[in-house]
Amino acid sequence: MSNLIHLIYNSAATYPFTEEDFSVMLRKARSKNASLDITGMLLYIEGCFFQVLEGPENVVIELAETVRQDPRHTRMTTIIQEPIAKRAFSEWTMGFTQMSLINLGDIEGLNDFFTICKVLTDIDSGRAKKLLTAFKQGRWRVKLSVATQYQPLATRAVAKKRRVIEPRPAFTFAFQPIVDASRRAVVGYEALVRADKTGTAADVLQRIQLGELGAFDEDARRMAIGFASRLGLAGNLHLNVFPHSWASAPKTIDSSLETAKRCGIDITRIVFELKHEATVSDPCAVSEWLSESRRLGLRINIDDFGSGYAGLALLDHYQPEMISLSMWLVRSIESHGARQAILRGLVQTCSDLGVDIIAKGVETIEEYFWLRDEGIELFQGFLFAKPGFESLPPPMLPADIM
Amino acid sequence: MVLEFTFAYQPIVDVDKRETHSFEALVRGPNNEPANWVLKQHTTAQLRTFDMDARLRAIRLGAQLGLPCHINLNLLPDTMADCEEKSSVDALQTMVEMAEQCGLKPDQLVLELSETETIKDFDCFVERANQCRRLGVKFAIDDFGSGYSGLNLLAEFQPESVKLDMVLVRDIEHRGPRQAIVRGVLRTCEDLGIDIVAEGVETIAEYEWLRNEGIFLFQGYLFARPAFEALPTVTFP
Ligand SMILES: Cc1cc2nc3c(=O)[nH]c(=O)nc-3n(C[C@H](O)[C@H](O)[C@H](O)COP(=O)(O)O)c2cc1C
Repeated sequence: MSNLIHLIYNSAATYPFTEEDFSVMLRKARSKNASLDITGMLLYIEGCFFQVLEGPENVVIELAETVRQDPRHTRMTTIIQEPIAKRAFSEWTMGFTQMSLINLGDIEGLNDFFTICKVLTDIDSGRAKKLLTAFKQGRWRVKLSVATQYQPLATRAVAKKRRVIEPRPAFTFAFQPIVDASRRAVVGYEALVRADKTGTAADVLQRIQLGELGAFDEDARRMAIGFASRLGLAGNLHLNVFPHSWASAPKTIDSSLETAKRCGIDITRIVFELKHEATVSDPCAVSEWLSESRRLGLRINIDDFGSGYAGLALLDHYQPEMISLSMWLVRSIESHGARQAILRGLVQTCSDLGVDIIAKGVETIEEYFWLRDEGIELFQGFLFAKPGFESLPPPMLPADIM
Repeated sequence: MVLEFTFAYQPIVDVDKRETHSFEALVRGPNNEPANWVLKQHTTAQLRTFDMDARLRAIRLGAQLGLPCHINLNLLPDTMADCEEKSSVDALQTMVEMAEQCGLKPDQLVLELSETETIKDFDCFVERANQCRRLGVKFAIDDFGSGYSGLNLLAEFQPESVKLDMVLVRDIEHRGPRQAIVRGVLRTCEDLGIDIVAEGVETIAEYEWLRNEGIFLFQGYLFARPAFEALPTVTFP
């Protein structure tokens, strides 16, 4: 017995389809599907396609690849691909429904489409039906944004650089901008510890003994504050807090606070970035720490959200001012249905809780546009700017229409 | 070492249809000792065999009791996903055959894996899970929203249902953050065609809040307590 799967995807038509366009496409697709033993269905509404393909695993995958290359549509996103025990659309070589006409009839725009099919049978309550219902409710519809140009951001938000004079300690900093896409402005910079111009944070951290980490961590933040102030930082300053420093937490706040004051950086401009390991080691200490920081006006960002213990349960215990999405969630999100669904859920939760979301590690324009369309406003990543060694690099911002 | 154990069954109800959707088989000692009592008597090495054996027994007893719907069975993912171990394939095959001998169809079986459980060999797990799915067996993620890497798991593996952890359900009617989390989970699951089961529902207020958000599958004391070696009847609110 061959391995049956179904693959469900959505995509955006590259031009508005007419009835004529459809019948041309369908005639060919139906006969090819019949010969390949592929069944399923296709919906089209206002420029969005939604298709279920079912059949033997390798045949479905190969066909989906062919379809992906088809210039009549783009942004094809696999929502789900999984084995099935039996077909939901066995009667149909890509018909339009096994749901009742009443079920689907109220999806506007499809009426023309349905007149083509004469036979309606009942679909069982499997995944395909549920996804159709979601589609009916307006989910999973992609459309093309127009702008894809790329241009440097106006320099207004970027402070002018000053020279730094001071003996060089064992480590220094690079700064990476965080941009607000809707305001087209830099909102702040994250300070990233560096040993030298080409290295990474890991180079520095490896050299530090476990027992010294707390002290290092505190020093590093003070230095970063001083550095940022000398560079003329105008917006927020994001500072990393390492998991081991919880024991000395109150002292950490005090010393950062004092340095910030001395450097003329208002405490409300400082954002502490917590790694998820930190959030579990001692939940009570974290809660206390957070209340204390809040009272002082510091803000908290939970980094790497979606990995390890930085998950949903954490938001039940405390609500930070912001979270940064884990890289795995951002990577290629434009073509990964499950990641998209998870992100939409997170956006819902965070907007209900007033927690801002930063998309970190954004590398491609496709990732950016997808996230932007879902209402994400804060971004950080190579697409905008690499970390600037001992400098505040100005970001590039895609010229999307607001 | 053969330890005596048996099962209690607790219904998962569909309040839309007002019918029992499934029974979850919960392992118990011979005198209705709790699950932990049974688990404690097994070493880690024995757990694998126990895990496989327990499912067979839960199915058999369920069938004897005249199970009319789905049956939810707990699964240690590593039992199933040990690609070195050929017996792990056979075990699943055996489970399905056993169910059929007892007069149950494979699509009545729902395997629950806990979000708190880490899966050592994920690719292998997915491969095995897919073998089961081809036969019609369904999957659920248990304790969702409570543990480690739940979102990660969901990104790579979409089960037929997700069971909301009871921590999130408790007092939800007046806990804003929990409500926000549950709304987000609902959104994600709707988009992926995954059913949500609210676990551990104890009060009418919890039930009503969740019901209002569109959840229709429930499990908890409000509907029925687990019944020792029996399929309990349900009280619908
Ligand atoms: C939204 C959309 C859905 C499609 N669905 C199918 C399909 O189900 N089966 C099919 O054979 N072709 C389908 N096609 C057309 C294929 O991309 C391709 O043109 C067709 O398979 C003919 O390929 P061939 O001439 O190389 O055989 C679809 C195209 C689009 C834009």
